[in-house]
Amino acid sequence: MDSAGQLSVLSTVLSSLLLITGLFFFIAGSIGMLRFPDSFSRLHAVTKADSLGLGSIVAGLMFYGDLWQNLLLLLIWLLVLASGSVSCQLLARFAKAQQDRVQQDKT
Amino acid sequence: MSLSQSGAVVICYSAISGIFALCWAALTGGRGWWFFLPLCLLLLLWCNLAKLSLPPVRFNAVPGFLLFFSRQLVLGAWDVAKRALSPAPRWAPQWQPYSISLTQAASQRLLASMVSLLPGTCAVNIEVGQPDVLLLHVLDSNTDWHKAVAALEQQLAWLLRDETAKGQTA
Amino acid sequence: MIALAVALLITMLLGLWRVVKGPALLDRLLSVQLFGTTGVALCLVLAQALDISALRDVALVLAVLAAAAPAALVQRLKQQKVEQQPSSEDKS
Repeated sequence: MDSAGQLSVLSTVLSSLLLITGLFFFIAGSIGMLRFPDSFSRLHAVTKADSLGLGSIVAGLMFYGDLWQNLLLLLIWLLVLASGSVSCQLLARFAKAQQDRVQQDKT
Repeated sequence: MSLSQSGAVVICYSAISGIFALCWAALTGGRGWWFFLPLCLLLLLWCNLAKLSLPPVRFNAVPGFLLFFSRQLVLGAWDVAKRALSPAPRWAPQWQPYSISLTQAASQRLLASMVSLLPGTCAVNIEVGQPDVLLLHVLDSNTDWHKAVAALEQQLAWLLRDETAKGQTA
Repeated sequence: MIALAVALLITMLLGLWRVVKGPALLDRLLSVQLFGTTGVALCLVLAQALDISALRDVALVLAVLAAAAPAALVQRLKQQKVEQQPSSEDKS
């Protein structure tokens, strides 16, 4: 359990692939955060890319753990998925309200 | 009548205890079941007092919904990643209204949260009216975002028992 | 595994640059999302790499916090707005 030595070649390859895919999505999310034109689009980037990236990394790590540990990993991912989508909405609503107020003050 | 009702209650509470047991197993690494039993009974009592129960879900629709949702999740993340990494990405961020056809407030909330994980859309607000309007932020207004949201809405309407019951009577 | 953790840390720093630079308040609030996802992933990878299972519990706590933090932050900022607005109207 403490090293990849006990895994078969196939599962090592699969888990590495999943981990690298996860890393790819995290990198894409961060680059999107730097490059996207407005704050709301940046919110898209972080929420979507990162929640899938975490899912992929969790799937990759599942090859190493036992049943209970994998259950915990899955629980964490579901929690992050739910909280990510809800908080994306909360933040966007707050920022939109703020933006509207600024526009009203200007006019 | 009462017999079938009590049967449904038993099924509901055993499903809830099953979920509790899974959470307990995940959190503790599958140890300490002697402590779980009284805790579970207390939680079930609390559920009973607070009138909590399982969401009214049509169970044979669950696998299809999960499949649909995970596919959309992957597509959404891939869409964002493509945009972030392509040298000359196309952007047309825009605010768009979407008329919701779901009737229950809870399922509208669920739709709003799930839309945020769909490709290119992010829910901002639900404006109550006739019909209720969901305000969306769309990454690229040239894409067919409307179809994707409508597909999710249809899936949700099929998944949630309240919605279809309402739809049939209406 | 360690390399993966380092790479995750770098992506997190990249994201943090946007948080520092702003310009809008929403950009700064994005740090909550960033820690919620990348931070959790980092903890999980480190837990596997260093064989410290306690880090998984840290990840769980981070995930729970990431669920509660935006709600609390938004609520708090809204209250600030409400408190500020009447006072500015009074002055005018």
